[in-house]
Amino acid sequence: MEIKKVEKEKSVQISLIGRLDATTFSELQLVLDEIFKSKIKELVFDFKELEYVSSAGLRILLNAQKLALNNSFKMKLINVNKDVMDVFKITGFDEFLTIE
Amino acid sequence: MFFKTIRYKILLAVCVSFLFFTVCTFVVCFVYYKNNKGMANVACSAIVENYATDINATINRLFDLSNNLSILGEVFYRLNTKNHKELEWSVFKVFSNNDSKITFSGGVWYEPYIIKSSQERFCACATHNNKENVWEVNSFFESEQYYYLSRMWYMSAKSFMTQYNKNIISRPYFGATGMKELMITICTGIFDSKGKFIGTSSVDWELHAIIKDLADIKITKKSFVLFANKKYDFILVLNYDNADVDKNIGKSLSTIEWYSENLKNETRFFYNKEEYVCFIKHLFDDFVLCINVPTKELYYNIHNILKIVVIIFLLSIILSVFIIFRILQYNIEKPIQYLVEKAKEYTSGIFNIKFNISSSIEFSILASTFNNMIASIKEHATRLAIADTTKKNIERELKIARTIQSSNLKTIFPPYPNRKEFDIFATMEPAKEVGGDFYDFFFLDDNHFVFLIADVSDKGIPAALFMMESKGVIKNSIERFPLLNEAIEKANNKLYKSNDAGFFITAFIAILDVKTGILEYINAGHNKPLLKLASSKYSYIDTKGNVALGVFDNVKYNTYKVQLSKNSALFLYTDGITEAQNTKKEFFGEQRLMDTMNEFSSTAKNNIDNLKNTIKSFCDGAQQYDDMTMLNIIYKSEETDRLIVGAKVDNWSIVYNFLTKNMIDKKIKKEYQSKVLLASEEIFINIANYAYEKEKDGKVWITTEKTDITYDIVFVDSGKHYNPLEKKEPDVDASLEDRQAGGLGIYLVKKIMDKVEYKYENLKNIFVISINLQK
Repeated sequence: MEIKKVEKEKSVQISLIGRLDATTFSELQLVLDEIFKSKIKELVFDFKELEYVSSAGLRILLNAQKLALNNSFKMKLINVNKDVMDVFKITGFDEFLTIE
Repeated sequence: MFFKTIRYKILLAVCVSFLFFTVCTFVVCFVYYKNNKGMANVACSAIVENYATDINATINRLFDLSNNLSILGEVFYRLNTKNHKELEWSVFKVFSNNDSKITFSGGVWYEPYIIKSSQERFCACATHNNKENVWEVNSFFESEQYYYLSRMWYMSAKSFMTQYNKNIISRPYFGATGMKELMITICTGIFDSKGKFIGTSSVDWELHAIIKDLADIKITKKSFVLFANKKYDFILVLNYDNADVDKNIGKSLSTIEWYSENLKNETRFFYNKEEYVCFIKHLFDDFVLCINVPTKELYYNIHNILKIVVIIFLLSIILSVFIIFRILQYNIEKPIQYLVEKAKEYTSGIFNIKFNISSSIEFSILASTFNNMIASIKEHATRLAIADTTKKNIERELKIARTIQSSNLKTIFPPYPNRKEFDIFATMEPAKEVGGDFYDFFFLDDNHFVFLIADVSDKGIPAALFMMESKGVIKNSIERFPLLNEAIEKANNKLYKSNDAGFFITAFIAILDVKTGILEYINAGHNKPLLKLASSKYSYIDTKGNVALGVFDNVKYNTYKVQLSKNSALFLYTDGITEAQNTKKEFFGEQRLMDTMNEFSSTAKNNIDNLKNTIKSFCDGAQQYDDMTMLNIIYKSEETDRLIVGAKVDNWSIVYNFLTKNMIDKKIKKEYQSKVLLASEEIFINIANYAYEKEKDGKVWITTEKTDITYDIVFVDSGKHYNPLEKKEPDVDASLEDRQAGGLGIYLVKKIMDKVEYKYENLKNIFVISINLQK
């Protein structure tokens, strides 16, 4: 999986390319840990080129969303494809994730 | 049902005999009645006849008397004596000899001036003095006072007297002399030589006596008499209902409604609503006598007798029928009912019963026979119960032995679900509870698969015991010695030594290299197996076999090799198959076996099931005496649908690539691919994280299979027994704060796959997920 990070003022956009699964989620975790060290206002995940998300990926998104709530920054997902959206729907993640 | 009971039949017989006796009674009565009726009639006719004869005789006497007087008168005239006294005396003489009961007077009377020209009337008359019972000359009739010439009887006699010597009977009339009796005067004319009427004789027929006699005839209470003169149409006697006789005297016959001129003897008529039988007799000179008797009274006695006879007859018949019925009931029906009830008791489970009938010898014999029968049944039952217990014990032990034996054979198929290089199926059906046949198969290592079939030279418990030992010895030997022939030679020596009972074992042992398809085998005196190379047909392996195991010491065994390609197959069997017999004692035979195997080609299990059915229909229910064992193995060549990989999270990419390639090969649609990959990841990661806690070399076997309908992925691991499907599902509706990160993986799998199965077999966790390709 390839991760692209774009920072603009206090807004961070992360583009994921490939698969967010059990073998790749730790890479994203490292990136996110780095981001959460500084205070941000917005976190945007661009899933345009993300093939799929497994439960390992969901776990990271869940934790990120919890952090966003506690540290009052905005978190949203853009360009979510159908397969990934299906996973969100099945697991009920679409209820609390902000998806545009 | 009722018509078949003895009760009904007895009743029927009794009724029929009752009917028969009744008919007989009535026939007898009828004949008796007819005869007696005739006799009564004859008796009555005789009575009438009797009276008629008397009356006729009286009339004859009177006629005779009248004739005599007439002759006397003529003689007196011709003698011309003219002496009145002489005539008187002569007349007196004629009467004095007569019975006064018939006539009381009579005389000779002449025409005026015939005897004496000076004397108008000349007659002589005698009458009977009843007081003194003597006849005397009565001059009263000569007197002027009487003046016979103007008397009706004289005048009518004179006018009718046209013929000489003709008797005339007068109409009955009452006498003028103060004697009020009814009388008839009989006259006979007196003629001179020229035929001129000169006088007449007279005889008075006093009817009082005869009327009295006739009126007194009482044959029965209501019988009555008719006596009349037809010429004068004058009834003399008609005493209906004992009525006064005088009342009807002189009446015309036409006043009698039942009377006619044609009335015949024994004619029946009705008078005053009652039937009468008439006994009639026509007498001289138009007299008629008729005695009429009411039918009822005439036959009263006969009727009465018949009534009594019929009643007695019927009563006695009813009584005897009743007695017969009761006798039959008590002696036949009751004992039968008793027997039936007792027998019912017996069949309902009361075994200690005793039949007791003493009413008749026949039934008491039957009862004692039943008692004997019950006694012997009891004895047999006791013996049977003992035998049954013994048999049950043996059966129980045999069942245990069978369980032990079958648990010793591998019966779970497929035995290696993750090995797709071959398809194997085997079965053993002992002829008795336990058999001497066996099969076995096992992996020597990852690539070498051993399978064998063997037949101990006997059946039953001893063979089964020896079979168990042989199986262990052969397996041990093969596992210990790398060369097949060496292993079998060692096994043979061992079996030879431990074989005091003189058993031998025929066996076919083979080792298949599942990677290369090379098959090594030894045939120790066993039936030639069927071999199919690639997709051709089965034929019998024609290589020379060796001697059976356990017969000789130190035998050398030859190993043969054959290269199997994809879909090559081998069928092993024992002689129970080829020697299966039908009812005509024909063997199933090698040819039929080969044909059956060739005509049907499916999985190993289906092949064997098909063969089993063919043998079953061939045998057609005939009992089989030999164990039937068979083993079918189909070589599938090296497996491309299989991956063996270490159970590590990092290996997911290997699995990912394997599955991706596999799905492209199998042309699985893209939309399904991502689902399969996601589910597979969750399963694999789950195994990698939890299956092998401390083991470092834990492995995961992954196989795929695509059918027309589904695409299945099987994950097998030999880690700890753990069913993730039993884990509690995460609450997907919980709020963000309450959300737990765990359990989502398996939940996802369940949601996106069409079928998810978990089982634990042979110490292995088997997880199958499948997706429906037709959705």
